[in-house]
Amino acid sequence: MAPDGKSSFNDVNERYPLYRQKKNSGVFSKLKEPMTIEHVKKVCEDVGIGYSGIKIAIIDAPGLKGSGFTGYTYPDGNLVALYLDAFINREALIRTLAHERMHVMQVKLYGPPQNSLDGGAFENGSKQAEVDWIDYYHNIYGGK
Amino acid sequence: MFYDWLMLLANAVKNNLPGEALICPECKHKGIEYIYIGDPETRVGYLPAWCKNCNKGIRICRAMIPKNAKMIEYGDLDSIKKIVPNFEEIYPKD
Repeated sequence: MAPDGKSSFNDVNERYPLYRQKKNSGVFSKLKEPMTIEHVKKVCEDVGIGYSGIKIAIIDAPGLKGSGFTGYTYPDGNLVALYLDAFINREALIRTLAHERMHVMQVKLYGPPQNSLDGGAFENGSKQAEVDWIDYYHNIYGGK
Repeated sequence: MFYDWLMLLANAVKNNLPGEALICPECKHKGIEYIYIGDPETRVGYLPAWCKNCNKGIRICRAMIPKNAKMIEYGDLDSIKKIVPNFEEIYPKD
């Protein structure tokens, strides 16, 4: 407690620093981006990708590491799953978030794809969205 | 069931296993087809996978494509139509 009677802590995260994981550990230690929802939300805010009202789940099954799989949008568009390889670096995380956010919009508008060609069209749209957001990120932050 | 497919595919792509060796999580028959569809420059795309017997499968939304993996380019609709059937897509449950 500070002499003026006010708490010397600024926020709840400072009081409980263990809740604020900044680095991955164990089998995940080579993944550069922290695998926490807080970090993911911060990245979304920094880059301007709106995930309000959309649940994000981090699927941390070690067997997915090295698969190259990064993300998945549920067919109702209410949940986006991030796989381990989305966390290999900042660019992969932003690209995945951008890609899946576009899928959310697509399935909300049109429902889940009904055939392989629809699925391909969705994927093509999401691929383009990645480019816009990563360009924005590079322009604003210089890619750092 | 979705996660059975997911882990099956993760193991297959990491170890470069042929689809013929994979057992379908749905019908337990041997023989899964999977092929990347994506951008040959960035090596990013998506991965449909389906069982040749029961025609059920999943689609991994976004995947990095390993070097030398079989792939179709995004815009090659003829090949997509020819190779990828309209399989019954399995979705994850919440």
